[in-house]
Amino acid sequence: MTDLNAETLASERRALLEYVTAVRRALADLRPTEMRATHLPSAMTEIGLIVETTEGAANQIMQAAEEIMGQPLEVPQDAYRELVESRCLSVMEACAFQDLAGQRISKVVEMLLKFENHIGGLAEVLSESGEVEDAPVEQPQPAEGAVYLNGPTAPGEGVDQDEIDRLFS
Amino acid sequence: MAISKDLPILIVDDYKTMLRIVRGLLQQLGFRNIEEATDGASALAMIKERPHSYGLIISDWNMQPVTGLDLLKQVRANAQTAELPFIMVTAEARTENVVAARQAGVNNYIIKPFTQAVLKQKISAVLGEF
Repeated sequence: MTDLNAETLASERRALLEYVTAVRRALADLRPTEMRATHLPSAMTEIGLIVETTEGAANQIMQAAEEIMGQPLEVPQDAYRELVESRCLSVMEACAFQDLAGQRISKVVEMLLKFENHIGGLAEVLSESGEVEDAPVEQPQPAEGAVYLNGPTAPGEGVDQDEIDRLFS
Repeated sequence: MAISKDLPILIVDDYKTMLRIVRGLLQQLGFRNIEEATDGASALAMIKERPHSYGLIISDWNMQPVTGLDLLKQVRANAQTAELPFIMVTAEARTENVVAARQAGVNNYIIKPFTQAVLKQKISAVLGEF
């Protein structure tokens, strides 16, 4: 082996070591164990609680509305007013869900932003080598006749009720 | 001919709040004979057990394991319930979903969230004025 080859080899070895070290550092920054053990379960708990909170609030509001609507016509005016005021207060109290849900969502968003930063660091290290590309996304093949459910669409996506009405007219 | 307020209606949704909302809206419209199922499988069992007991099904789509679309297909596949009026009430608002429901034989399609006026309009479109 010539001196030149040995020098090139040593240089490539150094570059490779630096690359592996950087990847390991970026992976360590991701804290995958902590992410799996703490952050993701915590995010899922928060989301579950959001569902629970909003459901509780919706039920409280509906309960109030049902009680008001269920009053017989012959209820004295004062009693009716007292009931309406008390149920209106209950509705206002229930609306606190927005604050609670907002705070929980902020916590989840914060966690996702942190994760995004770490993933960004890893992607930067990988893309610097110019050799690692994202794996192709596997598109699940739907069974014949199957339609995927995507849940509520964002504003501007999907069709609105008027368009559906035209389809059914 | 006006439809009877005694029309037996089966509402299907895995969210109890939605069941409560739909029931409340139907009751405000004057309907008195409302039954509930909290998932597609239960609804299917109820319909199979009493195929002639319902005059209208109002179902959510996004339920597991039996979806609203599965329920619709099963209802249409059964000769005893093939003509049973079926309205889908769902947040699934993509064209392919609407087309799939239409092809499966849904009578009408309502996107969540919706108002009582929309519900009334769709029931009228399927069953006639009331």
